[in-house]
Amino acid sequence: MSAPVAGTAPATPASGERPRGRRVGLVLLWVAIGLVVVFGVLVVWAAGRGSQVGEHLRSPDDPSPGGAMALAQVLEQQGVDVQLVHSFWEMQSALGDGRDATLLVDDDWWVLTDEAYQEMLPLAEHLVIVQPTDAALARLAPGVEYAGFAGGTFAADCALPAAQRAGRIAGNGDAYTAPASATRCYADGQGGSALVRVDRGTLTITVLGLGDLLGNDTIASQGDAALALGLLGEQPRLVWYQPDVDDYAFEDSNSLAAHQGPWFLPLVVLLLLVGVAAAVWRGRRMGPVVVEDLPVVVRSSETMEGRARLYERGGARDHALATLRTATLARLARTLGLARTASDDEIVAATAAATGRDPATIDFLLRSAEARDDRALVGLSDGLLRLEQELRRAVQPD
Amino acid sequence: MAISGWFVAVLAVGAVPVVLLGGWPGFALWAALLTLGGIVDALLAGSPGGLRVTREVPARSRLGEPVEARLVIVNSGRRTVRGAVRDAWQPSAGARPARQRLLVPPGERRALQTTLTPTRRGELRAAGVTVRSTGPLHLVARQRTLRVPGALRVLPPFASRRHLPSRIARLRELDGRTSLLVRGQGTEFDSLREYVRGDDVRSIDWRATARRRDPAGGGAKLVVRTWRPERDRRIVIVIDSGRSAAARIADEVRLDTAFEASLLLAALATRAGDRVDLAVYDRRVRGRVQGATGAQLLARMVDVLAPIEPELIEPDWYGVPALVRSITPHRALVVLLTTIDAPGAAQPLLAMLPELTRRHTVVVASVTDPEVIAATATRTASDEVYRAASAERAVQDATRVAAAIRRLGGEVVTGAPQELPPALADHYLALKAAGRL
Repeated sequence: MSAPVAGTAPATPASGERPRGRRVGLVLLWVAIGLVVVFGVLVVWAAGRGSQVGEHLRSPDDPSPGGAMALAQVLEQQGVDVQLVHSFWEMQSALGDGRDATLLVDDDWWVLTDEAYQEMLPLAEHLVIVQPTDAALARLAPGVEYAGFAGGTFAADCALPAAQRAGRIAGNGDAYTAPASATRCYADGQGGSALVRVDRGTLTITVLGLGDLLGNDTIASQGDAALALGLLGEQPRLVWYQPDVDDYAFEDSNSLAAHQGPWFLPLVVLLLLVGVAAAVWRGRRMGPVVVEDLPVVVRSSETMEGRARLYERGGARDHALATLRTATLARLARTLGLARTASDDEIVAATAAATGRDPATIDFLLRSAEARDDRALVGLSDGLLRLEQELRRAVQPD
Repeated sequence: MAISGWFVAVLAVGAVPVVLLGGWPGFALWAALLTLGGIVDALLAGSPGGLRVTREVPARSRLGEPVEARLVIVNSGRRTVRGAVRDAWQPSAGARPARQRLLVPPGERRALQTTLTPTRRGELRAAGVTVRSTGPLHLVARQRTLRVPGALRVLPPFASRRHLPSRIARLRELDGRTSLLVRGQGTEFDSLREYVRGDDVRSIDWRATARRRDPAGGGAKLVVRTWRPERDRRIVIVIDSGRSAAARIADEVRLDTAFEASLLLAALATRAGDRVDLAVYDRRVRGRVQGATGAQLLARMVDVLAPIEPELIEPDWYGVPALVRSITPHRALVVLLTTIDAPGAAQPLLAMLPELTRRHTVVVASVTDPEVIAATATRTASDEVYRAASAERAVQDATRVAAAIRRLGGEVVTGAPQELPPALADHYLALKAAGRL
């Protein structure tokens, strides 16, 4: 319904039919809005596609302090073929038969499952895992266990050639305990080591706890660069594997999706469609809404109420009392049958005579008494009403 | 286009093939089936465009009385149209039922009844007729809104009619039809006739009796004079439809009270043989009835008054004398139905009034608010005392304006909404009895 607008004739005929031209205009408007939305979505999608930079920690594409671009470039200059992969399948094809290649696994988002590590084991001969999860340790380097945080400067204290070449290194990360058969480097003084190499038959698995020494900001300090180059540049090829979250290759076999039938997604879509259809069914109007101009309506006593609130808020007791007295005097004069021109003195005298009350008290009530607070005002007002009643009773013929 | 509940249900049943056929194949099958069914259904549904609809609505009705409006639907298409029809009126027309079932085979016609119960007077319009034609499978429907103009003029209720019989009886007393032989003011000489037993002896005209004395002797024939009230006086009713007429007092808009009062006055005055003219005015004339008499007068009045609503503007009082002059050049009783509340707002009215009172008898009628009167006597708490003071102030203001009007030669009639129409009628009778018309 339209806003209450005064008017005798409705401004527009009460009909909901739109002119044809306006309807076409409306359709065009919606098409334009749809195009803008689609275009915007495409732009956002395209912009998000190219920029993988900054997503992973220690990404070889990333020139920022947290990235590892410096290391990757130096490796390339040394003649090492560095390949960055983000999914298991890419990693498999990049490795080929696994000869002459180092596989660097940096699962910084903890995406990979037990299964993935199990599958990974036979793929490469040289494996470097950076800050591995417990699952990775259990599958790839049994016996090696997480031993807490490690950080600071470490001295080379093992027979690993790369470590000996590097000398002292600086970095932060994890430390591990390992059985005596493994090569343990960079002891943290509490029984843990920041670098562990395990040999499993033909496989060499290196667990690097000090992940941040690969980063652009720390690679230049101490012997970090030498250690990294020594670990990763041993073979002519390096496959740098940083799994993305959508690396579904090895979903957790215990997840909800594993229990779903193939009909689950179609059923959800169908139910969504049912909901939309129900909304359309109930929401489709039968013809346009009919609008109507309603006449304006004002409550009449609004002025009176407004003035009363003004009196009250302003504490206008004198004013209110004067008004009440004037009204009472007029009514007394009428009851007594006095002329309209009768003076207040005459009214007071006549009232006193009719009711038998003391003229002084009546005069006090009608003229000189003051209302100091609201309580006094109510008292005086009651007095005025009582006086009027008394006079009415007095002049009433029996 | 519209889809039915069946469409939604059938779509939901699609869950069975989706599960049984293992996912997307079942989904695709069901979607294809339903789409096909929908298209076939829409094609087979009777076209709403093939319907010819005419409307039969009475031109007028009184507020508060239900009205039957009829739709006659002729199917000139080739297929049966089944489905639903909505006869859309504006909301205050109170159209029931909102939707009706429809089944018209090709070449046949059907009539649908809609009961209108208007909730306010004025010109009520029909917006259009929407037809939703369902297909034979009941899955989808074709919908179209047809333009079928229609209007109903809802007249003011004239609830004060009930006061009319008693006032007409009083008028008869005034009139010569009851034995009114005493001369009073406001009567004119009617005739001389022979005395019959029962006549008031005071009405005997001795001079005429002396003249009538038969010179040949014989009995003395007494002659009495009869009198009758004045007739063929003019009454001009001016209703103020400005700002203050929009106020609602005791659940009735001031303007509606003014309409009631003017209708009662007009009904009474036209019975009494006076001529009544009416104008509704704020800054221009919103409605005018002139030169109508008898039953025609009331019919024309309600017809003219029906669509008039208050305007949120200050009335232009200086135009009123010219308006009255344009209605009649003779002396008349001018009744102004307006509001007298604040002295400030009444200034233009008071300034204009002498020009009217010089030539005419002027009565100003105004509605008083019973709520304000009640507020003056309710004084138990402090806020109520302030309210009472404010109400007394309002009453005093109105009294002051009324006194000013009386000083300028006008007369004032006030009353609560239910009481003003009879009060104004009584005042008219009093003026008539006093011969001041």
